[in-house]
Amino acid sequence: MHSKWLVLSINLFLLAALAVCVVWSMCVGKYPITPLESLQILYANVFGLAAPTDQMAEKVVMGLRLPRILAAVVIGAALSMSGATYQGIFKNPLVSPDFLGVSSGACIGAAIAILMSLSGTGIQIFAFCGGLLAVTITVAIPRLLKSDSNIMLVLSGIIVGGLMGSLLGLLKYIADPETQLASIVYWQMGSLSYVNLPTLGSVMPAIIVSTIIILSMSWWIDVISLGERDAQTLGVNVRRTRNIAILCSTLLTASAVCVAGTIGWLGLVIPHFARMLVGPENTRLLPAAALVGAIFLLLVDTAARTIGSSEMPLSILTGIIGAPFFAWLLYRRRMKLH
Amino acid sequence: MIYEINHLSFTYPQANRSVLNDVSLTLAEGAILSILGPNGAGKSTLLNCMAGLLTPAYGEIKLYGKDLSTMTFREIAQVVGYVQQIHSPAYGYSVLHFVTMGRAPRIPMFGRPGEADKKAAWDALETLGITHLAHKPYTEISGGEMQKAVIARAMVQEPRVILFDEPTAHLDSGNQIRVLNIIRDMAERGYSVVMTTHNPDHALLLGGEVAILGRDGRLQIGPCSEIITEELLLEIYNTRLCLIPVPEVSRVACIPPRLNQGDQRTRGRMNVLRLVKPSPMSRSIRPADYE
Amino acid sequence: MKFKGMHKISVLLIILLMATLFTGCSSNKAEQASQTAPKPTTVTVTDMAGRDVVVPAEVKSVALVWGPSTSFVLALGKGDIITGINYKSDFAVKVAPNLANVGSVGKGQADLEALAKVKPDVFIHKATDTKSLDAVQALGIPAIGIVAETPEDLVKATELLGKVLGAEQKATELIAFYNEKNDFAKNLTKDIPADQRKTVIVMGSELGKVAHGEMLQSFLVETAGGINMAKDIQSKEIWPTVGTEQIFAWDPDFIFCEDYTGAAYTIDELKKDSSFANLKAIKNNKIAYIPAHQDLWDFPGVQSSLGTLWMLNQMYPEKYSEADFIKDVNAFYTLAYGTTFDREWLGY
Repeated sequence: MHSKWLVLSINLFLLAALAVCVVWSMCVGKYPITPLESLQILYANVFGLAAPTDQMAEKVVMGLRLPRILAAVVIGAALSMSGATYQGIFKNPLVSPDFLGVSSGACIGAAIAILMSLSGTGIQIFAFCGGLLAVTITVAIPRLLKSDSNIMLVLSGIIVGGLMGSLLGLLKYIADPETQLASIVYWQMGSLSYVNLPTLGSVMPAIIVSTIIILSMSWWIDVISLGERDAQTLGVNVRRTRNIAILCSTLLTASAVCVAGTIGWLGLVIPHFARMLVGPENTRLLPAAALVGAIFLLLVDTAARTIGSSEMPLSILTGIIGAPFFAWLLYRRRMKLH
Repeated sequence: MIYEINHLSFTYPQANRSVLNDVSLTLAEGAILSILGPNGAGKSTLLNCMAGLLTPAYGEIKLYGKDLSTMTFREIAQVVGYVQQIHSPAYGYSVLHFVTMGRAPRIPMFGRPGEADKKAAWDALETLGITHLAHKPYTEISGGEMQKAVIARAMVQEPRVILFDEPTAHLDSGNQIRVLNIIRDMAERGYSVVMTTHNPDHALLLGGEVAILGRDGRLQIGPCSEIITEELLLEIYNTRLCLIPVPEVSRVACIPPRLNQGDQRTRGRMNVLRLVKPSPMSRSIRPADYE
Repeated sequence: MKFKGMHKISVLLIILLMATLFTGCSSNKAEQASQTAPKPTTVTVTDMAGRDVVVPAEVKSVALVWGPSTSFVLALGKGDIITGINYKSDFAVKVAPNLANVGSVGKGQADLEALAKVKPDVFIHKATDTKSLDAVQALGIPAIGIVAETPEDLVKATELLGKVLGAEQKATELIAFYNEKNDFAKNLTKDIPADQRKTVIVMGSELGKVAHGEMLQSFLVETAGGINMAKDIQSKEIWPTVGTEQIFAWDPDFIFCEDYTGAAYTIDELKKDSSFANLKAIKNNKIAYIPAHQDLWDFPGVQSSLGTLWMLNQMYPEKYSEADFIKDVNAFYTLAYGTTFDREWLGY
């Protein structure tokens, strides 16, 4: 299927593509800066030299574009890994952070924290708890109905997603329209326009720790994806391993929501795309999915901030690209749903 | 003794259905045990209890003298390989990757298989003659090939005993015999083998000990030649089956009589028309592969 | 190109001029410097979000992305220094023709990079959106937050922006006009007993959406001596939905409607609809749009005193005639823009 060298070269290619995209994204935007100037500014700042051009250009490159690019890369990678992990541990290629209700749960958690006038860490903790609660309910419903089918888990996700949607509506209804509503809507829509380095930095520890844990258990996610019984006969403590994986991927999703709000489709579609590139084995899939997700969100966000006179919410673009792609995947692979 | 099972009973709590009733058995190192019984008697349940997947309501299972219920999945998996009925997983891992997962009980948590583990998997593929499948997706190979891959996975676990849950189900005749050959071969390599089957002839082919799990959930156990009698077969399957020595293959075979003759209690007039045709069952058992 | 060329020429001219000045006056340069204290180049103001903001002493350009802030800047006579705006109404372009060439720097929220490109001296935005304010401030563009929900805030915002934009005098005059007209309306109607006051609802973009007591529209009604039937509706929402049935139950003397484009109903439709025929306001033809066709009379800003006066004239024409009202409208526009506008064009 895929030899080690092929996978390695695909990953190197993705890494190079990401680097190209980062540089390209650095150079485009509404503020007129030539690519050379952008790179000079970046170079000067990285090596602590005096910037060669005007101050505003420096602020645009270092204060606006760089944080956004970093955030798009980190969040794209986090959501894709989160989606791939959920798909593995639930042995279900139809699930994703948004389809399991995790994103909307995290969004609700964040909204409650906003209503309680919490900030920073408080919002993060609430978002994480909201996401965890949502995924717990989603997983519990098929168990209660004693059904193990993939479709049941998806239906359960729709139930939880719908419930969370209504709860969010309720929170918006009781929110202060002037101060709180706008920030709740901002979370809901998904945007990177006000990302700054401190916000991104505050979620980085959670993202890095979760990523390390998920990557180091990626081979075990393969074992679990064979099914609970198979994994147990292979000596895996399925419940514990799965719970660790759920915690980490929920933490990844919640961190992404904290920075950028809910961004749909990414966590579902990118793992599938990466699987087409490097095969289904999670040891290979997770790094590739992270890279593809980073590139994808970076391209989408760059488009969102350069096309049109005002910024487009990210979920619009990810949906326009993601939904048809998923339909094509279903057609192409004629995925077994049961 | 590998297994010592004493007074085991199992009840499915939701269905309130008891399937195992005061079952006791022992399994010695290198022994072969076939478990026969009608549908629903609890053959798979017994294997699941032995693999630690289900916890019995009463009784105890000892694995190498240790109470199974106190052991972790990992400890059990280092001794017991379990070949469950094949099913298609969600993702098309390569057969080599799939077989390598059998090393899981010997790889530290958060670790990954190393070169030695991959070599063990490759050796298992060689033993079973399926190295040509190594890089094919597990989801795209045939049922017989899948069964071999699962057996290979159990082998790389390096267990002392391998449990087979109806390893011949869903396989064509040729593959059934090939799999039985493999199981026999593994017994000769020193593994203990426990196999459930629907086909008494397979138990006869494999030899060793036979356990019969009756409808009442009770277990009778003994050497193959003593346990399998025509009377007992009639009792378990509610159908007449004949034990006939076949000189051409120098063994006793278990075959059904012509249809609608020996079994008039359950087969009605519907089969009258087929009376003149040879029974398909009697044709299917032609263990040409068997030495 | 032409512009650029002219720019270069003017720069050249200035340099030449300065050079001649320096050579000519080099002897008494030191003397002059000691006489006049250096003019401060920046001032620090506290905006209505409670943030201390350093702004240039002379603001030469300003950018806006929030609708209500436009009214303030225009009324202060600073429409000509707007270099970024979210929505250009016909009125805005009429009073500040330069706006025809001004582009958008975001809708509701700042598009940071577009704003950086325009690089205004000051960015004016709602005080509640601290996210935008901080992000703009981080770019090195002073960001002023204003609140304009209540009459008091509206006065404060006018005052603050007058200071920031260098139009203190104008701000004082506008506030004086605003307070005077409000007091005038209050005094004129203060003796009307409660049971003889006109009852009013102000209806939003959909049937059954009304202005509650916290909203500016309610203040206009009450200042003009009316009673806002919906003033006790408890809602954090703007334009809460009470339903048409509640409106039948209130059966107010007057229905004032918001003149939104894309509203779910028109007054003409309501008048033709037989189910509304029994409403007092419809029967007596006491339903009308608050004039906001050009200048927004029911929006935060000093021009909202005209909304009050319009309602006063609608409800109590015997106390405040149409002629008085026209005189006041003209007085306001003369004060704010130094000109008067057609009655038809303004839409009252």
